[in-house]
Amino acid sequence: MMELTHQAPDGWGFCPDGFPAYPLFMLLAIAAGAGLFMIEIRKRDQPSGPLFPIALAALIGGVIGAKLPILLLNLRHGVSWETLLAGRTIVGGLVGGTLAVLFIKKRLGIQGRYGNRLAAPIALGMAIGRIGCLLSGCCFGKPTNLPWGIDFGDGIARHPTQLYEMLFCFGALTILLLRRKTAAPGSLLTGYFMAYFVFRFLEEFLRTHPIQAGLTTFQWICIAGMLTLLAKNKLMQSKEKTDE
Amino acid sequence: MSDDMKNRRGLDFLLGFVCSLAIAILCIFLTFSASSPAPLVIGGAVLLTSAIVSFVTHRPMIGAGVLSMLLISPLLLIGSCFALFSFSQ
Repeated sequence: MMELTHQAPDGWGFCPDGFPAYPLFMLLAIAAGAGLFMIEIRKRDQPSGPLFPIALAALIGGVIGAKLPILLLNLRHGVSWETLLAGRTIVGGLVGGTLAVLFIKKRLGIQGRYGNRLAAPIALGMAIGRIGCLLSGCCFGKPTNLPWGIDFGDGIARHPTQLYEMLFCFGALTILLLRRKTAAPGSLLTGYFMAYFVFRFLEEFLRTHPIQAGLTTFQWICIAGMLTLLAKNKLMQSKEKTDE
Repeated sequence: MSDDMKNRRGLDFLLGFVCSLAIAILCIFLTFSASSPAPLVIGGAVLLTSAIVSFVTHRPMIGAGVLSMLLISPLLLIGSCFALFSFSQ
């Protein structure tokens, strides 16, 4: 039995049969995020040239990062076409995208910091993506007796973890939009990623992913993401001190 | 490449990416609404044509954005794309 992250229980009938809610909302999420980022960048009176390699690296790194953990997760079952094609994870996408952008900035010597402009679009995209998850009935949580538990078609009320995450992302989006003009360069993206990794680490206790070495794979990825961000911050601080 | 073109490379790329994605979303929606692969085929043709036009009109980064969308989005949603393809057959 494979542990795919996007698998709805039989009988979830929120959308008409065959309606592609998940891919449509996933594309809508990417479009909304990229659109908001474009609007943010247009407001700045700066050349957008360096954005091209950054955006391309973020896209490629994000796609690889989103697929890779699913492959690793299912390696012990053997790699099949179903595994290769079906799964993806936003946590891996964030880590992959961040690493790819850091790499390309270092490689091309790009100095500009776009983090504060990127944070809100990413939060918007993630929030919209979770609406797709809810409509297609994937990414649900463990069974619960709480009044807001949702029956996804198998007769068991479960934690609507998609809704929890959507609320988190919309809340974060509001804060990010309010603070984008006053925050220190790059601090909003780092802060949002850190908050998301902490949120996702805790949310995983409500999800149904298999435990490996005490935690789920996604919790391990969250820890790796948090450590990477801490290391990056430390590096930036020491660099700023050296420059002074 | 002129300085002006260099300076707007990033925005052109985003413009191509976002607009082509909007067209793709519309085409997928229409494909399912009409239960016919025609909107997907027409949308694909429109996007490829717009990419070619952008290269001809010296705004190649718009074309790069369109092509990135055409390559990267299916990669991310490759399982769903197979479902779309099998549905539209």
